Formats: sequence, structure tokens, C-alpha cells
Amino acid sequence: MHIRSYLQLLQTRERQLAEALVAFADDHTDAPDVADACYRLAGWSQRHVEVLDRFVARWPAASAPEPAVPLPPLLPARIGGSYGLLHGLHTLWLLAQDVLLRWQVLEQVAWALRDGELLAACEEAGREAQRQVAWVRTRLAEVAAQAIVAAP
Amino acid sequence: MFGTQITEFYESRDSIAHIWGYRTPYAGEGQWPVRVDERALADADHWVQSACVFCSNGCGLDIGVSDGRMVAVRGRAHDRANRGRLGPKGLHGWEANMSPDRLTRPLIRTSSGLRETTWQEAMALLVERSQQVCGNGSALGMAFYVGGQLFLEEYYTLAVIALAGLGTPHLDSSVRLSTAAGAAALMESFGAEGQPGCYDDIDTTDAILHVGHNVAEQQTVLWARILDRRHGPRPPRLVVIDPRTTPTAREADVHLMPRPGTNVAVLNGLLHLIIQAGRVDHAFIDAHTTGFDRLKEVVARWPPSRTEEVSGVPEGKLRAAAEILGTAPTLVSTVLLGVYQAPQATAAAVQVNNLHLIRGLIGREGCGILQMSGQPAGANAHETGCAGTLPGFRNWANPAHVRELARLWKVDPIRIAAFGPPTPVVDILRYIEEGSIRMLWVIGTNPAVSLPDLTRVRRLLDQPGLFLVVEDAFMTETARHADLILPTALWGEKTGTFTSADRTVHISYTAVGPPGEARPDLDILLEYARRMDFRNRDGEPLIGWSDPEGAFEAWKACSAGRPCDYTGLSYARLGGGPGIRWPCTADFPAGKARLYTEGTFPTTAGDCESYGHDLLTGAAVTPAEYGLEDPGGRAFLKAADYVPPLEQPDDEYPLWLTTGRVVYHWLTRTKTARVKELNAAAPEAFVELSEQDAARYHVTDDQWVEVRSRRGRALARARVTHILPGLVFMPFHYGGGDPALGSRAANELTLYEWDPVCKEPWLKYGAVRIGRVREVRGIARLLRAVGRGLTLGSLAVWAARLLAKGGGRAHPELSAAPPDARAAAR
Repeated sequence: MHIRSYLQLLQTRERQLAEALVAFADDHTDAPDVADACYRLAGWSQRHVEVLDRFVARWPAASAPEPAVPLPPLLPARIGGSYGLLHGLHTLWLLAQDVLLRWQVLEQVAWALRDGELLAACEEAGREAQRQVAWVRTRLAEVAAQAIVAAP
Repeated sequence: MFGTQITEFYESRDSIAHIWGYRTPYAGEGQWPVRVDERALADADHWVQSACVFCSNGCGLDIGVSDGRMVAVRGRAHDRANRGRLGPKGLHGWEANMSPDRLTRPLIRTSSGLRETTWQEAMALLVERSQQVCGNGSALGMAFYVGGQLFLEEYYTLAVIALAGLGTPHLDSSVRLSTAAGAAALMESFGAEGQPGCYDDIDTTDAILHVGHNVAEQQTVLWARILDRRHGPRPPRLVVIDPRTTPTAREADVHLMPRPGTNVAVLNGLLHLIIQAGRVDHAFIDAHTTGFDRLKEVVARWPPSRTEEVSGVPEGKLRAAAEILGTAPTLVSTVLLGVYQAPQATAAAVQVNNLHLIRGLIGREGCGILQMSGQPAGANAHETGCAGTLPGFRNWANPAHVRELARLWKVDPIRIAAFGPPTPVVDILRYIEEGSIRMLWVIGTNPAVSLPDLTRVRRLLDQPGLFLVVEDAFMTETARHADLILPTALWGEKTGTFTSADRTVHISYTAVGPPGEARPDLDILLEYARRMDFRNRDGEPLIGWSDPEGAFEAWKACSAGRPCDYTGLSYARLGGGPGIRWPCTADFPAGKARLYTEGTFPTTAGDCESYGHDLLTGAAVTPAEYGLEDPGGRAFLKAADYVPPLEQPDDEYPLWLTTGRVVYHWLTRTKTARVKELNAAAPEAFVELSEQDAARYHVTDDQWVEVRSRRGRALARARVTHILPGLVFMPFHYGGGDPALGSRAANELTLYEWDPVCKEPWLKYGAVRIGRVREVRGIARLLRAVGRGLTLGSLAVWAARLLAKGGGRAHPELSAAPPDARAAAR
């Protein structure tokens, strides 16, 4: 059984996503829409970490040692301008997709465990993760051509 | 101006003193009595048909001409928009055409400043620089920013040049600053733009709701119509939502004054009360909408007590408003900048659509929604693809729509710049800042006053490596930064059409010639296209027209089959008429008064102008996602919860700032400041604040105060009123002054923050502090600081007052800290 460690992996990823969103906002203060969106989306991830705390506490640590799962942080490139914006969004997309996938996996787990509370949390957080991915994709579509074709 | 030639001054009424004129009470569609307003400086030889360009109302008027000069205006008695009436700007504003400071020759910047040049040289330079910027095979280095007062023919020509000629998506209009949220709300709810109702709905309606719309000062003739209904039989009830006690609010039966930034909370509170009381049309909801359960769930979080806590609107007043809005058999709602330029703009505007949808009050007499377009031709900027979507309300993300344009223009689809969403001005500015846009062509608008955070805007306009082209009739604040200035003809000096906020199309004919070598914008664009040699796939010129009527016919073909179908219109039909609404087709030759009469909306995936957005984050819905839940002609009920804006008043900046208009001026006053009577009626900016705040900050009426935000500072005289305590108001019209010493422009203070869906700035929201300007170092310095708007009279009064106080020696200084804080510091 790896429930606790899977919950913790998701927590780590949510934390990384929140930090990456804030760092990205701070790097792109010249793009006025970015900060507001990123702080809000980071707030969601922060809340997801707290929600997961509740469930982590319910599952004991494994008695036997678990295989180490490498989870290297995905750090946005600290580059300014449209070209930097584009690459930062790439990183955010990878992180947000990772988080989304993990919530979807956890949703199956919740069902298997017949844990209605966890299932509801997964559905809500999954919807928000989907919205995070959608924002990143939208912003990417706005800047992509300019960043690659015209930006200095 | 006219010297001794004035022989026959005549005006039918004094519109400066009596803005709305005498009452002509009435009730019933088509029953609004005629009242012809007229103002003449001399006898006219002949009259030329036109319509007013000082707001989006589109009042029909005739221009009186004598000896080749404009000498008079007169409302057109049978025009559907005004039945002869004209407002103060309509009656006076045309005199700006005769200003002695009109630009009459092209100007080129040299190392020693601007010098006059020939059109030949100016156009050659324009083409040379365009080709340089587009040298790497893409036109992403080029951008256009256009005002809201061109004619339809000019907008459409510009859209074809930018999208298919050059291939740049960087084409935006100043309507982005005013009514982008209204357009976005129509798309989010109904699938495409187009006002569902029309002004005739005022004639019969039982109730009217104005949300953030000071109609009395914005659309004075529409307000006269409302007042006439209020004075006639069966007067409509009136609900106004506005944090200021405007003339509109003073007339209201119920006036709600929400704190800035809380529109969504108040509207959700109203929707909750209406749904809770069961005052909804379930049959309509079931047959014609989607999303009701979610809406009900979200608004249920807004009981009156919580709404009051967040918005400051007392529970009793909220209930009184909900009673009217929930029971009126018919309802007209109008929305403008108080919603569009506030946080959660699109989300709030959508809730007004929701109110009509859940009550089934749409598509029939007396039930209009007017998500107002503010500028006279703002609607045309949207229709033609100059303001965020493709021409003909087409969807850039729908390949079939792009193919339609490609067939029409006879080009390969890859020639059309639809690889991403059309670029909003916020991103155009950013690309200028980083150097990826190197040529900006500004047409008929004044971003150096109208955009937020002017310090940044001025820096961008002067950015090294940017070639700035300004096409205007006057040396505006923006033109002063230009590398190339092209002088243009104004309204009355060119022929074209434009469309009012209720879809009524008017024609405006050339009455007189432009001064000097000034030319119509259309002529400039056509010559540019010729010189750039844009061609279609058959090798013919891409722009196949050479005059306004040709452009109009081309536009008709583009609009065919779309919601804004113009195919039944023609110059011949518009000439002599009262204005005709689109859609105007073989089926509806007289134009259609109301959209959605059958309860069917343009929301199918193949039809819609946009697949919609997440109202909170602005994330776009993908075609695949939309296809999964294609509403197939139902309208969307989109819920939005209130979220507080990030910037809130704090110890350092304890007050809310909001901005707005005064009745005598239009936008950045480029025209109205040049008309003696209009300028005299409102010569100066001012800061409106409550008695409580005046006492708190030791400010008295008429005293000079400084307003500071995290972005900048502005100086103006105090005006103590019944505005909501904690809120200060400044009009947005005023520019000028020396920004280093103290501009009068409200936008020195405003946030550089935008609605995520429609990319409209939050010009009506920000935190500021205020303080008296205590003392000054010499009169001259403050005079420079307050700019050119002072009249000699007010100067003398001010100087006398200063001398009486003994003058001063210190720098203009702020005493912003509240008195108790200062006492504590001692």
C-alpha cells in the first residue's frame, strides 16, 4: 500500500507548482495580467496542499521501506521578455499537467477505497488543476508566435 | 472664429444650462414626440445628412453649410434614435472642426523636431519603414491602435490590410478601454456580439436597470427619452447601481451604492433574492438556456447579509431593488464603464444577461439588454475585426471561419493572421517595451491620456527603435511623441457609415472639405495598400475598392450570413432615412428591432464568435471542450463568484479611486476642449470626495489637492459631495499639465491591471491617498503644473486667494496622513 506516499508526492508537486507560479509572476511583472492570475492559481495549489494534509494524516507510514520515487523540481527559466514568458509557461504546463494527472489517479484510488470525502476533494481539486492547465495553455497561445518570431 | 460673418446666431435651446431640454412625456412604441434641437451660427445654404459622433447613441442630424463652411446642426426629426433631439456635445462639438490648430500638412520628425512635408514623402517613408519592419518575412513587428470614431468603411479596410495584407494580429481599438467587457459578456452568454434589444424598448418597458452607467451624462438624448417616459403615463421604475450620486442616480426609485470592485457580489445578491422568491421563468430556462443549477448554487452564497457586508449595500435597499427587478413584466437593462472598467468586468456584465435569461425577459418588446458600446463607432470596430475577433463576428479559433474570409478575400488561409487570438493593446504595449514591435500606427485616438499608468505609456511611446505613426486631426498628447504625423479629415469632411449602440446604421455625408492637405483616413489607408502592392491569389489588388461606397459593399459581402448581416443595406437606402438596424436582409428588409425573438442563440460550435472563457482566470475553452457540450442554440447562464481584487485600500493608500465622465466632454477632450462653451462649462479636472473624507484630510471645497497612488500623482481642485465615504472620483477626460510637476490626468493614478477575459483595464479601481497642496514655491510653478486648462479668470481668482494667504515657499507638499496619525506621530 502506497497511499500515504502518493499523497505526499502530490503535495510536493502542488507545492512546487505554487512556488513556480509565484516565481514566474515575479519575473514577469511587465506583463500586467500575469501576476494576478498566477497569485490566484498559486493560492489554489496552496489550498490543495492543506486539503491533502488532512488525508495524509489518516494513513500510517508504511512499515516496510518504500522505493524512492525521484521527483525533481521543475524550475521555470528565470528569463524576462516574451521569450522567457514562453519558456516559463512551458514549465508551468508540465507541472500543472503532472498535478492534474495525479489528482485523476487519486480519484480512482478514492473510488477503490470507497472514500467519498477523498473522492469529492479529488473532483474539486482536479477541476481547479484543469483550470490551471487551461490558463497556461491560453497564455501560451497568446505569446508563442511573437516570442519565437519577433522577440529580441 | 467666424468674426464678423456671424449674422444669424440661433439656438433652439440652451443645452449647457439645460442639458436634457424640456420634457415631452409619452408612453408606447413609436410614440416619442418630435423635438427638434438646433444651433446655428449663420444661415445655412443647404443641409447635409449625418449623425452625431459624440457618443454611441447615434442621433441623426443635418449639418448646415454656408459658403463651404459648417455653420449649423439640426436634429433629424424622424430619426429613430433621437426624434430631433441633440445633446450639448452634439449641438456644440462640431465647432471643433473649425479650430485654427487643425493639422493641415504631414509632419516628419527630424533631429531638430517636427517639420512639414509632402504627402509623397510621408507615404514613401511609411511604406519604407513598413517594409523594413516586415523584412524577416513576418509582420509581427507591426501594430495598429485605432480609435472608436472611424467610419465602418475605414475599419474594414484597415482590418483587411492588417490581417490579410500585412499578416499581423496586432490590431486593436481603444474600444478595448471602454466596452470590451460588454462585447465579451455578449459572447459568453449568447455566443456572439449584438445587442439583444434596442432603444424602442424604453418606450414600453415597466422597469429600467442602469448598472455602472451614468446615462444622464453619457447619452443625454437617451436619458431625455427615459425622463420623458418617467413623466408620462405608466412610468417605468428605475434602479441604479453606482457608487456615486450621479444625475442618473438622483432620479432612481432605488439607488444601490456598492463599494468599488464589488459589482459581482451585488448582482449575485440580487439574482439570489429573485431565484429564492421563485420569480424565474422555468419554461424559458429549460428550453433556451444551460447552466441554471450551477448559477443557483453560486448565487446562493450571497444572502443579503453577506452581500451587505462585502458591498456595503444595505439589505433593505437590495431587497427593494430585487422586488422591482423580480416582478416587472418587462425590463430594460443597460451596462457601461462602472462595470466594464472595474474588477471582474466580464463576470459582472454576464450577471446582467443572466437576470434577463432567468426571467425570460429577452427577444420581445420592452425587454432589451444594452451592453453599451460607448464610442460612436465602437460597434463597427467590433463588427469589422478591429477589436479582438475576426471580421463579421468570426471566431479566430474556428478554421471554417478563417476559410470563409480566405474565400472572400481570395487568399490562401495561411495569409490571414489567425494563428492566435487578436492581440489586445495591453500586449501590444508590452511587445513595444521589449522591442518586438517596432512600428506602431495610431489612428484617431490618444493613448497618451486614455491608457492607464501614463508614466509607463509615455516611456513606451518614446522608446528608441519604435517608429510611431499618428494619424489625427490635432496635435494630441500622443502626436507629440510621433515620428510621422498624418493629418486627417474629421466627421463632416468625409462620407461613411457608423452604427449606434442599438445596431442602428447611419450614413454621414461629406458636408465640407477638410482644411489644407488633410485627408480622410480611408484615402490614406487605400493609398498605403496601393503602395504596399497587396495582392490576392489571382494577382488582383487585395483591396478592390477605391471609395467609401465600394468599401461598404465589400463589407456587406463579409457580413453575409453572420449575426451582423448588412446585406439588405445600401447607401441609397440609408440616405434620407431614419437609420436602419442590422441584421438587415432579404427576410428583414427594414432591419430587425430585436435579436433572439425565437429564443435561439448563435451558440452552436460552427456559429459562435468565441468558445468562451473561464470568467475568473480568462482561460479559453478549446474547440474540443466546446464540442463536447455544444449548447446548440441555447444561451449560457455562466456563474461567477466574487473575488476581492489584490489591491485594497491600506494605511498608506487608504481611499478608493474611481474615474468617470462629465457631460460636457468627450474622451480626452481633443475636440470638446476646443469648443468655447463646452470648455467653459467644465474647464478643469476635479477630485470629488465625501464630507467625511474632506474633514478627515482637512480639505475644503475648491481647494487644490494632490492625489497619489503607487503609480503616480495628479493635482486638481476638491469638490465635496455626497459620494460614498472612502471613495474619491476624478474625471478621465483631462490630460496636459507637466507630468513631472503635477498632471491633471486621472490615469497617472490608475492600476496597470486588466480583466482576464476581455483585457479591459481597471480604470475605475485603485487605492490612493489625498492631501492638500499646502504651499507652493511661486505661482508660476504651480501654473505650469496644472497645465493649460486654466482660464484667465480662474487664474486671477486663484492668484488673489494665494496672495491673501501670504503665498508660500515650500514645494507643493502633501499632508496625506490622516490627522489622528499625525497627532500620534507627534
